[in-house]
Amino acid sequence: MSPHYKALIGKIREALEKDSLTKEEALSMRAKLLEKYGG
Amino acid sequence: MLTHCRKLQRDSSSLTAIAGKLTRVQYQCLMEGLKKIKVKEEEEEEDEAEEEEGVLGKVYAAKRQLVPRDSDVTMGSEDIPDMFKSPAHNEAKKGGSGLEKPSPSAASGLEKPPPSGFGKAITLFLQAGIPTKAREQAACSHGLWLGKVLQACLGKGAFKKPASLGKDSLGKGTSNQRKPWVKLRQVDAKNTNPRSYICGMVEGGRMHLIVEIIKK
Repeated sequence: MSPHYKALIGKIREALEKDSLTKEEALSMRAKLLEKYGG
Repeated sequence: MLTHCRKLQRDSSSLTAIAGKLTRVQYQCLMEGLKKIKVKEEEEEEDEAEEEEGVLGKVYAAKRQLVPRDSDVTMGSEDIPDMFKSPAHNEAKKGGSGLEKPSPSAASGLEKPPPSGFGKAITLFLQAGIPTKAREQAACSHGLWLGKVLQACLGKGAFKKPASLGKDSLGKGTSNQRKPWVKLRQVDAKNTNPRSYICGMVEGGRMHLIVEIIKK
């Protein structure tokens, strides 16, 4: 997970800025990314 | 003879003169006879006194007049004096049935003025068992702080937080409307457990934590 740590933060932040994700959506996105990148 | 015997009975000195001429038995018989005479005399005296009293009593009774007087102790219909009955029973007896409400004019002393201000707010709050919008608005207009205090005391959820301070401000409420983040901030903690926090603030809201990412 550590190699993808920075990428994961960048993706979430980008989604928050562009798509104006809600907190729920941001949390679900984090869960999906953690599953994807070895959570 | 009777006069002579009475004279003997009254004068004890004349008896002494006779006692010398009589034997013991004769003297005792004489004394018994004298005693009987005395009893008769006493009876006559008592009769005379009673007669006199009777005459006087009749005269007194004729002179005396009875004055009518009202007594407090009167017997009720249930063979119980009225004074032992309960006040409610007495009131019910006086004013008809006890379930009747007092007339407005009679209860004017106990009447309360219609509530206003804080009193109205309390009344509205207590009436608002099931919160409705109209009740909430009316109660809020009379003082939201009072409602909060009462809510804390009674444990009723009659009042809700304003929408601006609710969960929707963070975007995690029931509404699916996305609000743009006015400010996004990333905080990196690198001490023992490296992690990052992304905080954001919507328009009119405060800065809140959105998501936490831990480096494993």
